[in-house]
Amino acid sequence: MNFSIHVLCAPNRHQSSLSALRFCQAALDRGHQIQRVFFSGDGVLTGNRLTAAPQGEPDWYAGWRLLARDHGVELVVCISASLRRGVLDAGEAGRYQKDGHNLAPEFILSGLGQLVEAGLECDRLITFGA
Amino acid sequence: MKSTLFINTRGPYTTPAAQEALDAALASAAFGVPVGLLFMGDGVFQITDRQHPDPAWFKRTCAQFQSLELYDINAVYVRHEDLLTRGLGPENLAIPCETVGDPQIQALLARYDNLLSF
Repeated sequence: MNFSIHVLCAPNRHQSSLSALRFCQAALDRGHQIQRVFFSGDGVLTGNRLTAAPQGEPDWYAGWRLLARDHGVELVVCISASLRRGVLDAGEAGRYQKDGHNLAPEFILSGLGQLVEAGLECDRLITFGA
Repeated sequence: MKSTLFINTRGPYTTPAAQEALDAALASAAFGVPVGLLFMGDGVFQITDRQHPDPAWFKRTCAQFQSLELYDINAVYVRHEDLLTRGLGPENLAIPCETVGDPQIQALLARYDNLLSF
């Protein structure tokens, strides 16, 4: 089955971020496809590459980056939600004249159309963290 | 074309959820997706009239919902019991919508292809 995942909560803020990640891993392990993970609301904070997990604590952010690296899963963060929350790639940092950018390279900034398209194309669109 | 029901459960100004749900609903409508909106729980406060947030800090959500008709979004539902338990009635709402009970909500959840909760 072809899934897309919609994540609305930040890692470490709510267990549902971890549930979403583990759902993706379990689906891939069973031979399903994850076409896209779309992060909106506080979920866009998942794309921040500047977080640092304290020693001895699990790094939920790294789990998402590994999902992209190991399985080629497309990770898309909602651009309007990201701008509100200070998650920028180099292009947006230039456009808004900010002095830095922090989007991890495994993530893409894009619009809500990507969520709409995922809902139309996939067999199931599943939301975590409403 | 698959249809999408947006389920709004949060109050209008405590989190950006109301704004972000509306953005997603309008984006869907712009793609030609048949869109429905369901307000329940504290989400019913999003569409009450007489909202007077300080304009220096907040946009009035109810004013933005008045643009729904421009996007051909006419399927707007509000859970009747959640209005009553908050001391509200249909006369307190800023936009036309249909009050529904739980059996009708079950039917809505079954009828729409995609459900997105905010």
